[in-house]
Amino acid sequence: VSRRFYWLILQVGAVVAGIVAGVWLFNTVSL
Amino acid sequence: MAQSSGEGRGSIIVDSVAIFVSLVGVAAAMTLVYLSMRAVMNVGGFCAEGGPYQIATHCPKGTAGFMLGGIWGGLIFAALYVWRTIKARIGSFVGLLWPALFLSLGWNFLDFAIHPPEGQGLVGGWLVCAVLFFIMGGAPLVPALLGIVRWLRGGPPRLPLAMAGLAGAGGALKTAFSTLRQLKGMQRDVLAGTWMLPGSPGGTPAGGIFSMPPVSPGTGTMSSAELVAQLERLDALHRSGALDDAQFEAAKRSLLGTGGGT
Repeated sequence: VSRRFYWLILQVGAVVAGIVAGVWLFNTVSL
Repeated sequence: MAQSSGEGRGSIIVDSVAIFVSLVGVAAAMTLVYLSMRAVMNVGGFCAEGGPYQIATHCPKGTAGFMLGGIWGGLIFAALYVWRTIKARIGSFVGLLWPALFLSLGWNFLDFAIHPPEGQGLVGGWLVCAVLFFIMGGAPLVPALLGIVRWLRGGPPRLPLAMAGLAGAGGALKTAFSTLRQLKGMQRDVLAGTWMLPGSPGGTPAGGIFSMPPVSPGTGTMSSAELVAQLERLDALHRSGALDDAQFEAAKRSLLGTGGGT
């Protein structure tokens, strides 16, 4: 079960990082 | 295969990095599409860039590229993500991608339908889009969430049907690339004169059309430089043992008979 939670946390982290990266990129280019 | 006991720590690290990077790509691409759509709706919902026509409303800076890059980049990253999670045999968020896309864009339609940029009343067209997008995104949301919860409780990782199709397409692409690589290698060998028919006895180079350039008898089109090059290649094959004496003699006679004009 702990391994499944490792992958869950990793993927949640990736989604958050991706959203932050997308917002940053958008603001950098279009503002 | 991160979960099989035989694999080492390295495999988990590689899987983790690949899954993390591809999912960051998917999330970033979807964020860019979401923000670009808002920016375009903010100028009224229509804009254009490039082309020979006079443009009434230019797109907000960067949005045209972000839309295109976001959609295609998102698809490519999603395919990579699905492939890596299947390889690592873990439950993934892949079932949530469709709902995330449609619900987020549906929210844009709803938000701008109620609060249009030019201050007019409710925009009916956008409201219809919002409802459609919410239905399309909302319907698969519950089974996708249930799938993740089941996996966390110890069930097997499952792919939604559409995503299984995507994974199948990825596999087909991989096979196509590997076939292409093999063909390229074969072409190189053929050009170098070292191509072997699979299973040819004693490593003898394949005969037929690949072993010699096709020179029709009596045409005499081969230049002397080409003839010398052919003879040298033949000699090299003979020395290397790829051709035995009889084969070498026969090939040499055939070459001189057709190209030498004797």
